[in-house]
Amino acid sequence: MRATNIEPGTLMGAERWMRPVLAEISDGVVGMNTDGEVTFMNHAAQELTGWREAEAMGQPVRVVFRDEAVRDPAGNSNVLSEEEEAAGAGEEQALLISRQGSESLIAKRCVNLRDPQGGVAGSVLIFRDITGQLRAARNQERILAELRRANESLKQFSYSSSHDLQEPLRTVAIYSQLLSRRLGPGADEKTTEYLSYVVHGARRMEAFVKALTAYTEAGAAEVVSPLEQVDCKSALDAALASLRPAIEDSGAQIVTGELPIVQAHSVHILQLFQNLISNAIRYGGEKPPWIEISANRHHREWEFSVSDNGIGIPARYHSQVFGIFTRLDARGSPVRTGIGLAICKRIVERYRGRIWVESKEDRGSVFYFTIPGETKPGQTGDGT
Amino acid sequence: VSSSIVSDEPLDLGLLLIAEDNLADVGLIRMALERYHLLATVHLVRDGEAAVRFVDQVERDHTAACPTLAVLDLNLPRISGDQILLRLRSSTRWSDVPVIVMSSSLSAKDRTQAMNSGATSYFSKPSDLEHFLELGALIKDVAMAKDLGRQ
Repeated sequence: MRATNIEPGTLMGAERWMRPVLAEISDGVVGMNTDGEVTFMNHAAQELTGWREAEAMGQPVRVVFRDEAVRDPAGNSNVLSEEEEAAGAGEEQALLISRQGSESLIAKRCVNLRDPQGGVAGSVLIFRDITGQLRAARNQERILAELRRANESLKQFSYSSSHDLQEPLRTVAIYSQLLSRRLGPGADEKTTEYLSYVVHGARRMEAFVKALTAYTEAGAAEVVSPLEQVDCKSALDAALASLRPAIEDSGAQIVTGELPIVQAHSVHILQLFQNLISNAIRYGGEKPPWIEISANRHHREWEFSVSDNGIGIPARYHSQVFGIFTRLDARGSPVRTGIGLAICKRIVERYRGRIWVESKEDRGSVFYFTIPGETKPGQTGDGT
Repeated sequence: VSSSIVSDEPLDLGLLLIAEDNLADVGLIRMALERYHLLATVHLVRDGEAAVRFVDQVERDHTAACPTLAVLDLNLPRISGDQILLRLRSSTRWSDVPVIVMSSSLSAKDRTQAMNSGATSYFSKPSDLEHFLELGALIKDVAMAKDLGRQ
């Protein structure tokens, strides 16, 4: 005699009115009793398993619902353990084999049905075809891999172009210098003028190639050396030392707050300060530049700021300034390439940080950047 | 940047190996030697294979003169300067010949790699004439340091 613990008028009643709803939903639903025999199948389940409900009724669920999975609720245990049910028994992926032998990848879950006394009255398998989803995910992986390859060859390209462009440019620059020297003061005005364009053109091109190389190296994904404990104060001092002539010429005042020690590459922190401070000097206003550098701890990251009293940046340019070769001033000196902030962005993003600017025209600018992750407070305090 | 004493006294380097494919740069190296009054018998090789052939020939034939100094471009056709350097350093006759590695590269990695492979000095080719001619000062420094070491 077949034992049943389904109370007539309760679960059966519910099943009766839920039947049309379950029948129409797009997920496959297979109901079973505590013996693991099929008591219900909706349209989607019939389609995926290849079994008609009438034929499947009373059959062991493992015959109707054949799947290969890590953990098989339709196999040895057709009801969930208390713990499994309490834990929500998450969805798992499995390969469903239909009656006709065709396979589809499904996501399935099993839910226990309970009678009014709280006892297990059976269970329901709910599953859906995720073959399409998987294909989309695979596609995404493939696109990512392609992107990585493209990125790699771009890096290779820019590395070799820095080599290969550099050499002929250097030759043009030096030999036009030699040529003008040979022509001497006896050369006519036009010749001298034309030669100076050649020299300047080569110099300018060289500056771009240099900038491109610096930009590529700033973001190189492979870490040549492991991260070090960088004392930002020392990095800032090194940056200021390299900028000394510009600082002295402009009469800039530099004010420094307490700076932390972060996990990074010191050359990157140095470059960040160098680029941001030299920008602050370069885009100073009438008054001598007043530049303040500080750091604040926010949650799991350090937020650095470099503020100035310079000419500021109109709001409409705020996102553009971090672009490669963006310059907001007129074409001027040949050594200017407008890549400094792009390099900053690349460095900061390499550490999964952010960089942004707050500025108003004629009101100075504040450049912020964050270095998140394993940071340690500086020796002198937490910088707040 | 050089610490060499400016002197008009010519210094004879003897046999100098120059491995450089770009004739424009060979011209500049010669100008740099001239600027610093350095006399030399130059053996010029213009690709990596020719460099290796010359290195091997000197290594085998003990009657052949071994250069007192080598100026080696990193970006040589066929066999890179880096590989030539390693070959020099693993040989007997060349093992302590001073080698100045030159490159157009702007990458710091190239410098580190060259120094690790046994370069005596590294010269990043500049695009300004006067700066390039300072290669002469570097060659002179390296040659004199070598002589001091011998005494």
